[in-house]
Amino acid sequence: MLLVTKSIKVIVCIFLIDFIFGEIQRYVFFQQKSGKFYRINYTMDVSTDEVIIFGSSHAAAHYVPDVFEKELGLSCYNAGVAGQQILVHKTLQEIVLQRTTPKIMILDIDTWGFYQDPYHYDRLSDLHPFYYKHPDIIGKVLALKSGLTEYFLKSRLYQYNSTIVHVVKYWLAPQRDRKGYQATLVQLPRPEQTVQVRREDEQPPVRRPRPFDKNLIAALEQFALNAKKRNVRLVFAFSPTLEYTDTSQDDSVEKIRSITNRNSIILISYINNPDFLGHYELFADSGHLNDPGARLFSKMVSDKIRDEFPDLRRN
Amino acid sequence: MKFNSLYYLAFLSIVVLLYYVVGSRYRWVLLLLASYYFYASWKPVYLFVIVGTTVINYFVAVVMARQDEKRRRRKFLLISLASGLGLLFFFKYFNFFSASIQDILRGAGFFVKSPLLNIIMPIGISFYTLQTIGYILDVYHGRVRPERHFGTFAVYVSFFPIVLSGPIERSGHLLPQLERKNKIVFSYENISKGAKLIILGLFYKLVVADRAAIYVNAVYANAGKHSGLTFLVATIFFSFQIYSDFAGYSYVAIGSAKLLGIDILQNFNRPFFAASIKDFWRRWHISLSTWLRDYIFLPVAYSFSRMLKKEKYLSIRTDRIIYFCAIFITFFLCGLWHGANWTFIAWGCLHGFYLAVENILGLKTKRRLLNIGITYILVLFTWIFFRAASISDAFAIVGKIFTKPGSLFIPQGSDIVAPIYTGMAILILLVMELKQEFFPSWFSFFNNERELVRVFSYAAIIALILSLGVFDGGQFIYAQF
Repeated sequence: MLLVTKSIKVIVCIFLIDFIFGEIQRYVFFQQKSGKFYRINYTMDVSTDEVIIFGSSHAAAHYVPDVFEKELGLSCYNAGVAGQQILVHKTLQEIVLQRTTPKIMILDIDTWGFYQDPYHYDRLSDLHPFYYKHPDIIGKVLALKSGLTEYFLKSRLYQYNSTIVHVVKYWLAPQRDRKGYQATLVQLPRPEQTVQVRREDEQPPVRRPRPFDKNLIAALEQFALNAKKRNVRLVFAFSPTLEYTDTSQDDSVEKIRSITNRNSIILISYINNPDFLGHYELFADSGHLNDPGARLFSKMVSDKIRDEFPDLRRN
Repeated sequence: MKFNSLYYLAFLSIVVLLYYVVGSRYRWVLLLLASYYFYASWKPVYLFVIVGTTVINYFVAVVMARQDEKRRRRKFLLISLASGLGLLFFFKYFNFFSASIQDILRGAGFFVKSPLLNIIMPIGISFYTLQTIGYILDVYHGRVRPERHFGTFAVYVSFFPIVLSGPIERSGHLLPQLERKNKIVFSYENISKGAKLIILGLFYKLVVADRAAIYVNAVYANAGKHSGLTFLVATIFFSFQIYSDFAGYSYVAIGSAKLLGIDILQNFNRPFFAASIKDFWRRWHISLSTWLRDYIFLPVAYSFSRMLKKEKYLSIRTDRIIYFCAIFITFFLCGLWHGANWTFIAWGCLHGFYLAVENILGLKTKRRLLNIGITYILVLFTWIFFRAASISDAFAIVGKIFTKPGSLFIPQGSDIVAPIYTGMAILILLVMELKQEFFPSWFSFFNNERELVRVFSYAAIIALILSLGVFDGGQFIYAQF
């Protein structure tokens, strides 16, 4: 009996602390005016832009909304989230579509983002703070990681786990609002040695097939279907690469192409594009464009979109 | 089944409930089934190894105790040691020694390909092997009687709270508590203490250790990229990571056993406040250090003392020679036990060297805080070797710290929060332990006489875990042993 009464007292105390401090954290969290979580929240609940760009850090760094707005005459928001892949992109898309219907969605695809890897699920914790607003959609994707996550999310403190420092950081040093675009102004120095290419007689490395994660493939298919149902024009894009990438035997590229062909989706590939290949001055690091590179790329993508969808331009 | 998972908490709750329902006569059955289930949850095939170890040592102990002649007892002792150490060598050290021999031969100009085994080491083998060796040696020396009940002995070897990563128990301490005649009754005090220890352990693990690991792993995974200052900060973080990870595990283990009314040996005692290396080893991994003292250091020192009869050799006092040799052998083995890599051996040897110098020169100032600072720095240096992937990496890191400090790696964008949270977590930990070490009689939260303060304190710890804990993809470092 003593154990029961003591346990009840502890549980009540936990509930009180969780409720009070959880509510405080929730309030503070949604007062953010910049940073990753602000951009996610803006995408989910505020954006009514006509062009929305989804993707990982490549999307965030490569697509300049100002350029799209100027070239297409349509409002644009970059909803790229660093470190995230298709599960989060699809979740954001579904939440957006509950509220508004953009004219066009661009999905920047990382070709390696469909293989089995626990990080796809570990990083879903970025969605926890938004669970209470969109429990159905977010709960469904979180259940892919664990059926217990939704029980943990009953705790308000757990919903805002590891966010308080983030909030303080962007309160003290707010980021400039570029409609979601993450500009990098540095330039990658050209290396002293040239990149070694394989000799013609040299055997290619043995390719070991990596297993796809069926949840990720299904999410990409669903992303396409969601856009189709709402008559949203969809563009899939592969970002430019600095160094030559052999995709001839890349299962992932083949899989993505098959999805785009089946769903009549435009696929723009800038892998090994000569305008970017070896152009160190356009890159901030080996995987991301800098601001000049992003502006050039955005212009190219805009031109392509304008050619493919001539009726899209606003009168 | 990781300790920091809901599955373990559910498993533990069921075991505790059934434990007090089942009579004391059949508790060994419940504990044995639970322990084997827990062990098999990692990999079922591992069970063959632990059961095999149990069977061999059970029969060896029983038969050995019947032998009057020491020579005959020694034969059975050797059988047990050979089987236990043989299994450990096979699973843990074969590839290491094979690769090392290959490197040595190649260095001498002989190009041979040493065989390598493609096997996975059974989890916890390093811990339960030491525990059973300790038992066999205790029976051999007549310190304990052999356990006649096979089930009780099997529980002793595989007891689920401690089988993976200790504390390494002593037969004289744990076996009597597991015996059927020991009628442990339900008590609120045991449940309360056990639950508190588990909560504390989860705080250490989830809030401090797993948080520190994020920055440490990012830095040590790119040994060539980062500056000396970055490595210094990462190593400081690592010192807290490894302590919190292991101490956290130990608290959960001790707390889990306490729920069952079973007392397990303390394993840590605020090692950051050690005022000498000797003091450090009285506070760090206490179950291992005392095991090494009783089963390696003292016997080796005794053997040397029987061999070395003179007072001095080469103008060095014999007692110092004995101490130096015994401590070096002990800590060489300590390092080797921690891992099949020269980095662990280097770590162990460094500690052996420190202890030898400390013993011979008696280096210690009169200021306790200064001694604590010096000890922390000396231990911090050894952690570089413990964490580095190779000896060459370790030396490169040491070189960078002393000659190329450079600028501190601060993660960009949202990633900057990782070291900030680590700093916060370390600060909370230090405040807690500082208070316990230097001001134990001051206002206590967790042992306050007012119930409301106690309840609020534990609720606050749980709230901190929910708010700051790392819940994604955590693994205990020591599980690899």
